[in-house]
Amino acid sequence: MRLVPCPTCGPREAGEFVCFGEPRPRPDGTRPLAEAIYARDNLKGPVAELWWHRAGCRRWLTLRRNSATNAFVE
Amino acid sequence: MGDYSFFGLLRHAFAGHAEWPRAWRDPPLKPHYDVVVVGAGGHGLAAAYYLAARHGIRNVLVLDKGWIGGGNTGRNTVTIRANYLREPSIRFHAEGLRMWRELSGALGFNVMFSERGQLDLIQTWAKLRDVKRRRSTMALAGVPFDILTPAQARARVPILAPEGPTRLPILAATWHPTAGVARHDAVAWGYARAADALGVDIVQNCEVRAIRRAGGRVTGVETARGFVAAGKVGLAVSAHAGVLAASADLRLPIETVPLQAFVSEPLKPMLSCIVNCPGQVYLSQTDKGELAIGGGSDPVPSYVQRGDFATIERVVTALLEIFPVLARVRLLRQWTGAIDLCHDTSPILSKTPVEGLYLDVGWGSGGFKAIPAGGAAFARLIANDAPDDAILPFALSRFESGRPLYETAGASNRD
Ligand SMILES: Cc1cc2nc3c(=O)[nH]c(=O)nc-3n(C[C@H](O)[C@H](O)[C@H](O)COP(=O)(O)OP(=O)(O)OC[C@H]3O[C@@H](n4cnc5c(N)ncnc54)[C@H](O)[C@@H]3O)c2cc1C
Repeated sequence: MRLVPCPTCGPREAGEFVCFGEPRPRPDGTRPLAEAIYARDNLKGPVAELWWHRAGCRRWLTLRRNSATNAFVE
Repeated sequence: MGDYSFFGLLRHAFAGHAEWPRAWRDPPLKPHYDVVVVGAGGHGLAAAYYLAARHGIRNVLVLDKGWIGGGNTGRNTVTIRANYLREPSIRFHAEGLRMWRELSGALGFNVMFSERGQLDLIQTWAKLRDVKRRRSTMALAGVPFDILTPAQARARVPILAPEGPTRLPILAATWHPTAGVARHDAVAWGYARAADALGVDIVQNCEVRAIRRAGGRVTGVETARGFVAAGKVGLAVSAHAGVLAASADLRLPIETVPLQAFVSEPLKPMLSCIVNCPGQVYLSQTDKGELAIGGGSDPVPSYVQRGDFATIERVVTALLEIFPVLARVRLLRQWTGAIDLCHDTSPILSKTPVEGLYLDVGWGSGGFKAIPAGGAAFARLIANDAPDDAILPFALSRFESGRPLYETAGASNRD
């Protein structure tokens, strides 16, 4: 079982969450449109990701995780 | 190169198998190569082989940070098929099926291709309408593809759940007779051996850390053993495409996610074809009798080659719904590969904005079948420095020109 550290609910089972991955800000003209829409950093190592605690507090969270180890970092 | 013909085997048998030569060399790095291919999975090795065999480019290096076929090529569930959604994909994989038939002979190495057919279960009306349309596209590409009644499906696969009240009854099935399976390691080894025999250098345990450029052109690669100069560089690194592309200031529409596979204990022969329950679970029976089972990808992106337990539960639930007879069968092994899932679930076989840098990545959950056709196409692309019609739809620029090639036929979660 994988635990996700929710700031309001504490560590909860991953199935309660939806991971939306790398945040993709609205295209703002600083990058070519196709890149802003489709491209990813897809970093190997520390990443900041968007999560939704669907079956808990229902908050949107930005969580830090290491994509090379799966460990969450505070 | 040892000769694996019947007489070759016989000769070595009489010599007590003491005289087999290495299947490929372990050469030192040369300072310069015409082409450096990064990644010794099926795609990288096949590309190197076809560069040497079809284009006469033999000063070629294939580098891998691990061992030959140790990436997804050695972790996959070996389904080979052409029943895709879009016409360019179907045509590409139809050519692949033709190559698979000849592959053992061409490489002088038995890749154990077994053309046993694939049965897809159709459990919703929307899906039935979709496969009727798909049958026509398949016919245009000359690939046999039929729609079966539930009774015909059960005749082919007697262990399917019997008719009865169920949440998703089997409404129909599709039959793709030219689909098949092959032995994953043998494909990597066969290409490695054949490429090596033509003079290609294969160097394992040597990571590429960065791509070097000068004036918008590739000059070589920085490796764990120092700089290697190269006229052209091809990336066939699957999960790590983004990491290496970043060293050339490229961002790709690719996300790295875990995909798992499972193997049951060996059973008596009970399944003569591949069975796929789209988006949920698929399986085939290996020559050893084990059921090789796959499903959708894990929900959280990661480079870790370790799967989520919830996915196992989801795949096994779907499996038992269509094969209740397997309820007491034990799973022996489970493993995970990190796949390179492209935004539209089609691969990227393409030139890049960096001159002399080429991509053969983004194969996600479906690139094993594409090793012969993909490797040959990648070799053509590198040799000609230009894409041909067959791979033009897979260009990286499709995202800029508004022509993403959305596929729905993969095993990944986005079905
Ligand atoms: C569980 C699972 C089931 C699958 N089932 C199927 C299936 O049924 N049918 C199908 O067609 N496909 C399937 N696939 C997909 C298929 O396995 C892959 O698409 C295919 O093997 C990709 O081959 P490749 O050569 O591009 O990549 P890989 O085989 O992954 O090879 C890439 C190589 O690049 C190397 N590398 C990475 N970074 C570096 C670096 N910096 N320097 C040097 N080397 C590097 C890696 O070590 C690796 O050996 C499945 C995949 C998985 C994980």
